[in-house]
Amino acid sequence: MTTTTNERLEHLFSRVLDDEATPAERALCEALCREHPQVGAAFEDYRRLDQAVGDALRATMRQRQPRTYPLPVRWWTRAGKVTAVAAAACLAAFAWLHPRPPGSGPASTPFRQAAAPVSWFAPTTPQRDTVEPVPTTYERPTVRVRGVERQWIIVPGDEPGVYRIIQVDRVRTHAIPVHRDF
Amino acid sequence: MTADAETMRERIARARRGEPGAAARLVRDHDAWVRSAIYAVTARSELVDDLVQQIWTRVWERLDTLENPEQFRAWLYSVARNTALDGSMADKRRRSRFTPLDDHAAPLDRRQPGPLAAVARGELQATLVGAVQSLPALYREPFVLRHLEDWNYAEIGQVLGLSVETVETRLVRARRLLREMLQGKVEP
Repeated sequence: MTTTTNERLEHLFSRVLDDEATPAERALCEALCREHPQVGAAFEDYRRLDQAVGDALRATMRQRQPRTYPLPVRWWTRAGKVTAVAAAACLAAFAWLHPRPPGSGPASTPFRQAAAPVSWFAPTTPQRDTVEPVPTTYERPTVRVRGVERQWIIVPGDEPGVYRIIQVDRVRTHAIPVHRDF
Repeated sequence: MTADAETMRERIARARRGEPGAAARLVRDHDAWVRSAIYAVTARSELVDDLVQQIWTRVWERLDTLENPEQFRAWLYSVARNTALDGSMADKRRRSRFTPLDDHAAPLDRRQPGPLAAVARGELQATLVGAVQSLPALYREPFVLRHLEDWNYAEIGQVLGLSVETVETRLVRARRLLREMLQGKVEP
């Protein structure tokens, strides 16, 4: 068989194997296989190889199929969700509308005492907090660690292997965690 | 417009509006072939699970850029292909730093009559899959889609942007290369 004939046969085999051949092409393939044993053997080789490779590919992908599947949503699941939302809404409405007697809550803050509402709907005016006067000047304190010349010390942290460097050189004192076990 | 195209347009519109279940429906309908496409591009089954998640994430990010919902499958294939290529290159860089174990070791199938048969079957499967993996991507993509998804030439051509004749030629060449590689390795 020539190269051109081989190529034509390959195309014919491919089309038959892929179910793309017309009835005429299929009949031609069958006739060629019947009349020429070497063509029949070649076609059988093609078919067997194609099937084996296809099976191997499918087996490989089957091993990789996703193993999680969405659960079907049952009617009682939806009904349960609706019931839960309705119950939560009722509770919230009750808590909002029911007036709380004064002094029944936790330890009252100045704000609570000032507000002390008879009803949640009574108009309230927020009270201003008392703020200490801010000092206009800042004097840096002299801090020295006893027995140490430098102005920083290392102390163990809360966890094993964590140490803190405490350094005084600015207005604020920085505590820097050091994540290194040395 | 055909009924299928109209259905697809409606599904995409629902997914864009964020309707519950619409996105899940798209995933359910297309996830299997997206997995096959990843395998066709990368030839590495162990990358499929990770890459398929990245692909769907990209799909939701870029769904608004899809101009023609009727071409969703071709668009999705291009997203899958680009993501798979990126993932494959990243995997190659990662693997270059390690000495891999045997990639093709298939698990033993206990339904086989004996361990020797199982090993032989596993080895044959590894040989066949290895041959497909060694095909140039040009030929591997249509070949894998043909066998895993049973798509016809027109469907393969649609997602790959090829004519039916080109798809046929590439399948013929894929089979020729496989025949050369596997000559005498598949018993009658």
